[in-house]
Amino acid sequence: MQPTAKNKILIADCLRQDQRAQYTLYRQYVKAMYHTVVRMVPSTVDAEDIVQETFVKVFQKLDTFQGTSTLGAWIKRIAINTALNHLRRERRGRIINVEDHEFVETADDHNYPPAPPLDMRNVHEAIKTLPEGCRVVLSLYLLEGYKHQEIAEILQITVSTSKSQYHRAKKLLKAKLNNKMQ
Amino acid sequence: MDPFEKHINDHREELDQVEHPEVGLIWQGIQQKMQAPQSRKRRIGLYWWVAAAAIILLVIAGISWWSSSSVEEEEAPTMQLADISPELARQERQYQQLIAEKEKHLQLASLDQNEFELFFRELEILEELHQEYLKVLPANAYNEKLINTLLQYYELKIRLLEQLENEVSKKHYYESQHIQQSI
Repeated sequence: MQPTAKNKILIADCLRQDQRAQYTLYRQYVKAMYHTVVRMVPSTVDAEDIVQETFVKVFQKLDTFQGTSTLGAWIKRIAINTALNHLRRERRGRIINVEDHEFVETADDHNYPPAPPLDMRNVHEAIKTLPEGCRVVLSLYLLEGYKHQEIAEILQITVSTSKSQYHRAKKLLKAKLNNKMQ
Repeated sequence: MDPFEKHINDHREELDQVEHPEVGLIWQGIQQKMQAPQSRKRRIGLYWWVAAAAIILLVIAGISWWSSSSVEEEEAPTMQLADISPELARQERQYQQLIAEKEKHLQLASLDQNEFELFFRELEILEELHQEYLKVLPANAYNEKLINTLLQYYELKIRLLEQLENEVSKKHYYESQHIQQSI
């Protein structure tokens, strides 16, 4: 997907080190990037640091953006990779350990949706309280559109671990939201 | 897709409107970092070490030359830190093992030297100075400054290899084509 004409001009201006253009680009994407990051790394301070690092990389590497995806998707990939690197550093390696429990989805899981309307602020906050490994898988799969195969490669786990962590996260999230509504 | 997933998907954009990050402060930090390139910061540690190490080497070499100038010149035997004490032997072995592991993990020999030119140049400088130090070690085996500098060589080399590891993994991530979707 090619960047829009407006973004093409913005990118060209940023490449000329025009600070106003850089700030415009930053404001256009900062909120979405922050929310993506803070759901993976729930500490506000850490999330803001990661967003900062992300945009520094964006401006330093903007000349390598080839337009094969949208600018937003490209920035988001950098934000997610920076957040994953942060988690790896904190965990000294793997984000999900192989010994983490396997969870298998049951028919009951499908019959356990919290009654809509669901307050999305509660969803956001509840995701942040999930255990780290399954929280990352849920964020990448459900919210960022990654496939289990891709998540498995990134996190160096098996596809079935990615799926089971996702079902675990979904089940915990539903339970948390249900408790909140009662 | 179950009703829960569908609901989240239908309201996905609302999820990015919940919090109010410190947009101004983050921008200030970005500007500061852009004005002070990381590469300069990264290299300061090595350059300080090189400068200090070169001075110490000069002084030690000068003293060695002065004290041995009247004695008939003979070739200095090769010596390692391990030859001085068992404790230093243990420390040196640990450092060397760690370095060997990191070099193996990095597949250092097969890395593109042009792409990571800065790191290879710094590793080369470090190696040259280390060799110079080993030459004066036999005559100064109990010089504490010299021993500390030799230990610092290992620590700096490990730090450089870790930074190189980080750069290599970053490069792999940028090259990966995992997401091609719009927000």
